[in-house]
Amino acid sequence: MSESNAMRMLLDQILTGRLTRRQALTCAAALGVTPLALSHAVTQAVAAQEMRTVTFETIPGPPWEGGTRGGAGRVAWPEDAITLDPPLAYDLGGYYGIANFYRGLLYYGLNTEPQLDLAESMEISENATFYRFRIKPDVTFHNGRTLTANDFKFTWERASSPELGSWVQGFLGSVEGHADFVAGDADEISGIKIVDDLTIELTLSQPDVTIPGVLAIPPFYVLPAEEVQAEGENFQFTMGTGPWKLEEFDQAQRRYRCSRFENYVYAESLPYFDTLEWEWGITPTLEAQRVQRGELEAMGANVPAATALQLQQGGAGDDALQVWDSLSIVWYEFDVTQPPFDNPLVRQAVNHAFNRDRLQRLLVQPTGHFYPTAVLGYDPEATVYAYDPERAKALLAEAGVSDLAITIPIWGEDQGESQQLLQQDLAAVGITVTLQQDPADENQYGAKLRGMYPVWPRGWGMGLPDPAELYNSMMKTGAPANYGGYSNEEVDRLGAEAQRTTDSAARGELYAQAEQLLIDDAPYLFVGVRRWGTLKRPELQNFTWEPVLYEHWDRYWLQG
Amino acid sequence: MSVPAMLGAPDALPGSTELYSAPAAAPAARTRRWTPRALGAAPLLGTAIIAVFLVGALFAPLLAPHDPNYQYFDGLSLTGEPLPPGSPPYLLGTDTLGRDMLSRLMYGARVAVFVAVVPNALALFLALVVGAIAGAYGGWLETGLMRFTETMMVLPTFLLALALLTVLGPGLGVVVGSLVLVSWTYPARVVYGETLRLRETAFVEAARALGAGTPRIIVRHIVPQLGIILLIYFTLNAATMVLLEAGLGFLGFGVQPPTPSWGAMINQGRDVLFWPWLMLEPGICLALLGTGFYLVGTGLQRATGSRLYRVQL
Amino acid sequence: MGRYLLRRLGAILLTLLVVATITFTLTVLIPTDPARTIVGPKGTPEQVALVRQRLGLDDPLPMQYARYLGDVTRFDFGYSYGYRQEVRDILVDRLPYTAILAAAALLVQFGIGVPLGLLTAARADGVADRLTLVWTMLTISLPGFWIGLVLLYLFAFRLPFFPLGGASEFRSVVLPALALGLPGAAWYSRLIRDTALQNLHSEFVQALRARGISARTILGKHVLRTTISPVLTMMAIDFGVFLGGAVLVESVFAWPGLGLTAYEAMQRADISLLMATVLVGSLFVLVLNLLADLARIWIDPRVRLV
Repeated sequence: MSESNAMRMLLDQILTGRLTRRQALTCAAALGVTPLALSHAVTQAVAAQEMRTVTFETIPGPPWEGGTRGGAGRVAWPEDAITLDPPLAYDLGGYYGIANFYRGLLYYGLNTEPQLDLAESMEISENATFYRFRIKPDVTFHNGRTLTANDFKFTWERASSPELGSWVQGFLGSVEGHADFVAGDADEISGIKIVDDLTIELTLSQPDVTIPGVLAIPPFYVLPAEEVQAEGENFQFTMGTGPWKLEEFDQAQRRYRCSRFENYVYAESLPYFDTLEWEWGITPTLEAQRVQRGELEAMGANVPAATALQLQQGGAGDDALQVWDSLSIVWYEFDVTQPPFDNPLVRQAVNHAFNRDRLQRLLVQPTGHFYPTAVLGYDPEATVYAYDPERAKALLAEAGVSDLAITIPIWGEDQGESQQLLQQDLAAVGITVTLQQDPADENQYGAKLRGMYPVWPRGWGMGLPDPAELYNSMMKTGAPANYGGYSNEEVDRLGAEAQRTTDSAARGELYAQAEQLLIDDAPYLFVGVRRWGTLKRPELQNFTWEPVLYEHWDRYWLQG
Repeated sequence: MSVPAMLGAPDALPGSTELYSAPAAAPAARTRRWTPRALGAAPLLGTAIIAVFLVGALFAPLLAPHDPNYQYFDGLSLTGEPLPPGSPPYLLGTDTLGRDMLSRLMYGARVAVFVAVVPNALALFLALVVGAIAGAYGGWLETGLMRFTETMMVLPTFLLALALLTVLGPGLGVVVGSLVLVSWTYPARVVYGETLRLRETAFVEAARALGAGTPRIIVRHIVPQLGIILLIYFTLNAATMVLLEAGLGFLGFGVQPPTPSWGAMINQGRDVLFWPWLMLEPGICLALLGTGFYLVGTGLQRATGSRLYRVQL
Repeated sequence: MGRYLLRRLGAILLTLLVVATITFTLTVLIPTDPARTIVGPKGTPEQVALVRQRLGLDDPLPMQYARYLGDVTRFDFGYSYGYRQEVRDILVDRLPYTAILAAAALLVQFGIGVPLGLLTAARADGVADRLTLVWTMLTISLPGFWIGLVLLYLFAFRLPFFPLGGASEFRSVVLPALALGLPGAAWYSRLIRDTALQNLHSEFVQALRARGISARTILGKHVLRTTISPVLTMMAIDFGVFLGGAVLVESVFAWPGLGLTAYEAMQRADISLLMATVLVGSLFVLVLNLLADLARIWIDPRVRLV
């Protein structure tokens, strides 16, 4: 028996506990192995055993039945794409547009679970402090250069750099060396290690299971390192590894046109359309009109509530109008540090007084939850506030509050329909509401809101489809977007524990518990999640969507 | 064409005080013919229209069939759509929140009438003060005030009003202020021109000879002569004020919701053209009220023979 | 004349300075923080502070003001964080649209107003005259944006002759031009009618007729000049106003001109862009007013220059 085989058998016996320590050392000595060497070998064997190779279902891809190649897909957005630079795009047009030109190690397929994309495999240690990714070979950028691990390190460090000032700067905060890098003490993140051209490893300073989810969102899609460094400010942020390649970008005409990238990594899943044309600056009503006239294949934007309502009446073709729950939540936040809403009874009363169901006309799913329906931790069985004006009045009486008069702002150019509905409902329980248009929005004022209004409307579109984002941004004591001053130690404890938990189901359970506590405390007037809808031409086939990346234009084709 | 540019554009052009061919604001005939015959049917019609809106506005709480701000449950169809005109009990239909359009239009008339009167009067008062002082005193006061007026005249006041509203936030006071800001300069020019002319007349010279000081001359002699011009200007400017407020409301800067204003109502209707009554009804009200004011204004012009504009309507 | 021109140009510069100061003051007072707009809702307060520092927003106001004036004189209007572009480039993009709409609206005003005015002058108090009177009354009482909405409803929504806004094809300019131009066309027609009638009955013209000069020559040489003069003046002023940005109509049709740009800049608290559009808009109004005056002097011999 060869020495290495003998060693392997020995290790196996040690690990399965068939040899005592004494016996193991004796055997090792007989094999000529020093105790130190044995110790090293055992440690490595233990570590290897704790690694599991994660396999995801790969992105379901074409060819689907009946897909026809060719033609142009035309789609439009209401706002200008502020930027297509992945870590800087927080506007919807940019966020979704990025997925045309770029891809990342992971990707959100047709569910909210991240899936492997440019990564061939992902290994994750049991305690979620170590990740190893092997990159698919022969992935090329639009200019033909092959993708390497260095591109990823560059991209992720750039996204985390304080100079860039991106909103995802802190998303890799659990990676070793991140803090030093952000502080300027190091010029790289030591925890991101390039092993070879096709292998990259992440070492974390604390357990973090959200890493695959983070790497699957557009801000972390890979940029070509050399080109970005060479061109600097002039780099046209559309050169990536995605299925579409930019042909023409016309700022004046407010459109861009891209063509199918023939060397896309998924050679058998190339986009069906030859070209994709994006226009922006077209209002949603106009977009809907154009789709109905056949001038656009589908709306890029959200169909306005009134249009959806009217289309449903008009009986637009079977699948022409599609509506689903998004990852964008709406609610009202109370100032819990001052009267009148420092009293939980008053807050609960308002929750009971508001008839959320009427918001369905405004394309809001009135779940009464904080979390969106599609995210981990959403528990449909949770106890939410029912519409009960009598109970509201009783609570108010119990709190000793009468003749309450408050002012609620309407942000920016919003028409304030939700506030007007609320105004009427609160009037019915004896609370007088004055509405006030305010040119700014809640994020401009931040915590200063506490001196300005007793309650204000909030909205949040999730960037990372994981409840950790909601917890870290709003539910935690002192969180940056926690403007109302809410604080509950138990919620903090649950959130911190969920951060450390690696099992998905257990995490979900913890977050669900945290949400129930939140609902019981009622620092918010709970409303629900926005429903998004889009209109498409009947000829457009295989139209699919999902809440994270919205539309996937590489999958659709035109029939007839 | 921007209505402020149309109004009160006498022969003298902005930025060129010197270019005066003939002061067109001079009443050609001193006789005032107030007989109905001389006035014609037009101003009577106009007065009738204004009266209708005035009554509607003043007595809105009594006359309005419903609460203008209440979102009636049956104000929407079963599928959640607003009701078209002719759906009793909501005679003119409802809006997207189920509120009665007729009642909202009546309450909107209150805003329109308020805007037609208060900022209008304030603007004219300001114009009177500036123009009369500049014309009567002469000298550096004249130059300074008129240069100031000209500068204000060529500013993009509408945009500045929007910026002002963005900064200060919408609210009735700010809206009134913005409307005054946009519209006081043209009448100031007219008042100035008139004051210059009146300064040379015999009775003013006589008053001076008798030892009257300038302020006394302004108040006792000049202002009464200006009265009729200002009245005409008031009626014609009223429509502009209403339109401007509608424009501000359309852009979201008018009175606060849920208080109805015609401009804001048009704004609510702009994206939902498949429910056209939402934007057509307030627009028709605007047109009628505006026409009413114009008819009265031109009737007065005809009667007094004064021609504030080069156009006889 | 030279002195007059110099004085006017000086006045223009002074006015622009006033406009710049006023807009600067207002943008300082706007409650929205451009740094926050750039960083986005998920950015941390530290990031916002960093961006503020980089933009120089925390510098003392006189310094910011001086810096702004200095930049403007070099045609550097700054960087728009809302559009991620140099403001100068945005203006260059948008100006052609503004110019096209302004020219089209003027065409409507002139093309409808003048012939109609001459017609109703020739047949005063006829049917056409009375109808035009009613039409004038209505269009003056109606806000331009509402006319635009009605046109949009009728000719773009119900009858798909025109696109529902935007500026993507040639046809797109028709409805906004009509919305901007119809009130003015009505006004012009009345103006021409009254002026023409006045002139036709004036002593000067009657003397010419007494001398046997044909009606045609009178119309062509004498009356036309004085009739057209006020119209041309108004056209120049209108052109300036349109170029300055017809916010309301552009907003209805989503026409990417200066007016809409200014309005959007206001909404996003995009300070550099807002200041630049207001300045450029004012510049157009001022320059065109000057041109209007000059044209007036040239055409109408009765105008004296003091």
